[in-house]
Amino acid sequence: MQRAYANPYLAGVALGLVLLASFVLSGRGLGASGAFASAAASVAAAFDANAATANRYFARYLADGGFGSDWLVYELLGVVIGGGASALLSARWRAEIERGPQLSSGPRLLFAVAGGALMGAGAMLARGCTSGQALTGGALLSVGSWVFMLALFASAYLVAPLLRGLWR
Amino acid sequence: MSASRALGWAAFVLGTAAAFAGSPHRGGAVPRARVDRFEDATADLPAVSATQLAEWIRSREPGLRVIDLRSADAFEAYRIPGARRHDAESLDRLASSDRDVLVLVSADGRIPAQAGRHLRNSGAREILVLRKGVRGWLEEVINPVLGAGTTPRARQRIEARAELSRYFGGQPRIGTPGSPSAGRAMPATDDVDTDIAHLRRRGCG
Amino acid sequence: MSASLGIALLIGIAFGVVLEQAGLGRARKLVGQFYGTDFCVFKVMFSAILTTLLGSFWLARLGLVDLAGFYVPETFLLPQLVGGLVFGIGFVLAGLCPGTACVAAASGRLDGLAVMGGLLVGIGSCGLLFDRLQPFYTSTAYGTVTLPRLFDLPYGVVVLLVVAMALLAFRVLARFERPA
Repeated sequence: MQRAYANPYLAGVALGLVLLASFVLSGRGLGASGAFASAAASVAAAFDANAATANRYFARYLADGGFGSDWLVYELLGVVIGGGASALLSARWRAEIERGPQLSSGPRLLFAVAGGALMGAGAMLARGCTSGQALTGGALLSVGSWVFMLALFASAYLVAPLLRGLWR
Repeated sequence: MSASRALGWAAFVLGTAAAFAGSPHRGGAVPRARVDRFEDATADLPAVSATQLAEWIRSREPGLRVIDLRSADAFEAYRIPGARRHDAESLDRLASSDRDVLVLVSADGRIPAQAGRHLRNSGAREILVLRKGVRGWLEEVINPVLGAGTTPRARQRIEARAELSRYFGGQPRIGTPGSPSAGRAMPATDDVDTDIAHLRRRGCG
Repeated sequence: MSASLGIALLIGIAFGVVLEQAGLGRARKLVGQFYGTDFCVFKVMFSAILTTLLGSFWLARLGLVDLAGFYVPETFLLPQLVGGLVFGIGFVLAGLCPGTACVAAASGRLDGLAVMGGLLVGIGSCGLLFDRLQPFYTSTAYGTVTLPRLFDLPYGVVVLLVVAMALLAFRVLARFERPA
């Protein structure tokens, strides 16, 4: 029997405590997009090691051991393990493609890739995503993080009516 | 009272108390003068390692300009060969050509964000920061502790670094980092000034 | 594996469990946010921000931690503004953000995997174009600047303002939420 989701406020407090623990234990907050940047740098290095290290953006992710010793990569690996285990234990694990009622699977996956690519570009420019900037930087009252968060929600609410067909 | 409501009240009470609780920063509120100059802010510029910089200096990399942003006293005490001193505040007046590769040097590798902003329009081809600053230079180039090396290739690489170090009058230590000889040669301190004092006593400053 | 990477793994596991338990591994639940049917994202995110904000303030105030040791993301005004606008569009298209996409993928949702692939492509392409993007990427750098500094208010007062705004928003949203 699939269990109901947790009270969002309680879940939020738990998430806040995880973030706080991260700060106290390692001086840094949570993140996700950085691990993808690290992975992208490693993929680039696999194709052409010299070109990747000559690229200043990739070089910083390749320094100090790269993908295999990147804090964020291990953290995101933990997210996958934790998320998967939690879904299994709560009987919510299901192989499916989540989509709106009017959208078939193929287009849904295309939109997912396109959305992912746009988020990747946005996170690269902003130096973080919803986890690293909005949540972590927001909790530490960083001005740039709040700007990112407000811009994110503003544009999402602006385009949501136009993309209603995807989800409603 | 529901759990959500209790959490809401807890947040409200803690938040209200926070407004009257004073500064959470050690040593009280941050003084205004410091705030406006963003002294603790660091520029987001790509970094170059001390070893790489040493190789560039040795090979006379065209256009290389090493700009030391430390105080005049610190610069007098020890400088990277060929470095010029410049005030971080007046970097906007630094003239450079599009062939220049600027390497900014601080005590510990942190460069004021403001310095980065000043240089952005300087027209230099590249603007880099010396990773870990003079401290990194001393650790990596002047007093490197190099492993023994187990394979011929590793030994070759270590010998190349040792040679680079000697080129700059350094004293490379070859052996394991934990060995007593390495420890005695250069006591690891957290203070660049102390390290420089050691260096000067040894006569290669 | 070093101790620090072990901690990273443990923190990640806790992060993943919380996201999944809150239901944030499911695209349709996340986009409910943008269509007024489910404000779960906002509730979780802002309860977490309040918890960390209050927790870090009080731990530091009681001298148990030093706030100077917390890494505060630097401000790059324009790149973060534009990055946020682009990210928002991607968020609605994908229905998931980078962290939640990983949870979605881990709980069997193939769309989560597709979003992860897209992220890799997006960040990778921007990385390849870095030479061209760099002038913009490093523009309008203000270093570590926080809201208390910007508004010239004591830290605790800003904490109260954020708490008050979030609590108010929770109340208002509860009124407007109309579950599908």
